[in-house]
Amino acid sequence: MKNLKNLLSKPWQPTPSWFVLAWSLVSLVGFLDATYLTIQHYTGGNVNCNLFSGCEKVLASPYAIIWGVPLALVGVAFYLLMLLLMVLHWEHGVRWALLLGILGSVGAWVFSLVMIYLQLMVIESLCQYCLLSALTATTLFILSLVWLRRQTVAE
Amino acid sequence: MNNENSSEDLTIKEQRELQRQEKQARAEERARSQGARRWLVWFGVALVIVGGVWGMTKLAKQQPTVVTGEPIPAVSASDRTNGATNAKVTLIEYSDFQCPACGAYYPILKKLNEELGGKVMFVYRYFPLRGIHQNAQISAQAGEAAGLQGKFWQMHDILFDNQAVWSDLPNAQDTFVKYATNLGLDVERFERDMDSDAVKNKIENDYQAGIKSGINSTPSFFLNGEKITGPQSYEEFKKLIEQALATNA
Repeated sequence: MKNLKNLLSKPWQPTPSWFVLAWSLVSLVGFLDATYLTIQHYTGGNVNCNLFSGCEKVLASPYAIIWGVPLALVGVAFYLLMLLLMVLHWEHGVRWALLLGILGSVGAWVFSLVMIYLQLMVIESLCQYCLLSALTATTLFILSLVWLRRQTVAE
Repeated sequence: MNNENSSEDLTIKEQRELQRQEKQARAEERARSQGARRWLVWFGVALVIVGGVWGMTKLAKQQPTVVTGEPIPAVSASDRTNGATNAKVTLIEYSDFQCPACGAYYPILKKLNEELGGKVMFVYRYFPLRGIHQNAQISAQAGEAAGLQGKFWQMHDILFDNQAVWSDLPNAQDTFVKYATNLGLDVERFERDMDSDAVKNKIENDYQAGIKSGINSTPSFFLNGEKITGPQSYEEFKKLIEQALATNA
């Protein structure tokens, strides 16, 4: 809690450029993945499920749509936001942009865990595109941890 | 370090002023180049995003066309057939029990079978559009499981007759078991078969063969191996089949 307070009030260690690059690239991968699924969702195209059979089952399950919005589209918005927030932070030095990105990455990681649980236990099929998204979300989460650690260790 | 020097003399004051001005000029210059850089970065990001979306659209569209061309497999013993055996004309349908268009063609095909069943063989192959129909796969499994007890076509009819009933059910499987009971099937075996790998593989094989032949929608009809674009009416369909009968007589 004290660390968090310090984080908000004290000046930060400069964000290293490799961090910005990694974060942006991972967000971009997640964005492309989600975009592909969104296009397939709306055009009704056949998703290429060559890694695990039954990935269509995941994409056609009730869990693929939340309040009438396909999850893939939520993914597009999320990864786009993650990318733009990082650019906003890096180019304009906006602090809340990075904090929001970190908060988002934690949320997305927890959400991904729930989705993997659903795939394994409820739908009993895996979808490679969804797993890729879980991987990018996890990477963003790890990057967030690394960043937070840099800030607290330096104090 | 930060101690203010109270006894400044003029030269130091002048030097400081000079330094301040230089610093300001540098800052302005930096701000100018930074502004240009920022503009470039945002432009680059926008470009990558637009390019990415464009690329994904291309990729999504590409798939069906990449795999077209292979002829559909010939009718084999594992196929679900109806009508004449050893017929001169074969009509193969790639279909999905949950697809509304397939449901619309169902009465047409039924009528065709009644009239021309003596001369034409009708084949049903599974092409479940799992990406858009949540019960496509399980309904195909129900059809095939009924087929293993010799009642594929009866189940086929029930599934299409009741398409609207089960399409949106979260547990359509229970409904299919009821249909099986009504058909007098061995329900225990039906349930076991419906979930068996053999049945799932059969459906998957049909589906993959369809993909290889470039099928991307249902129903897709093949008259003696040639793809025909969906005839709009019973009459049109009948004419096509009669033409095929005439040329293969």
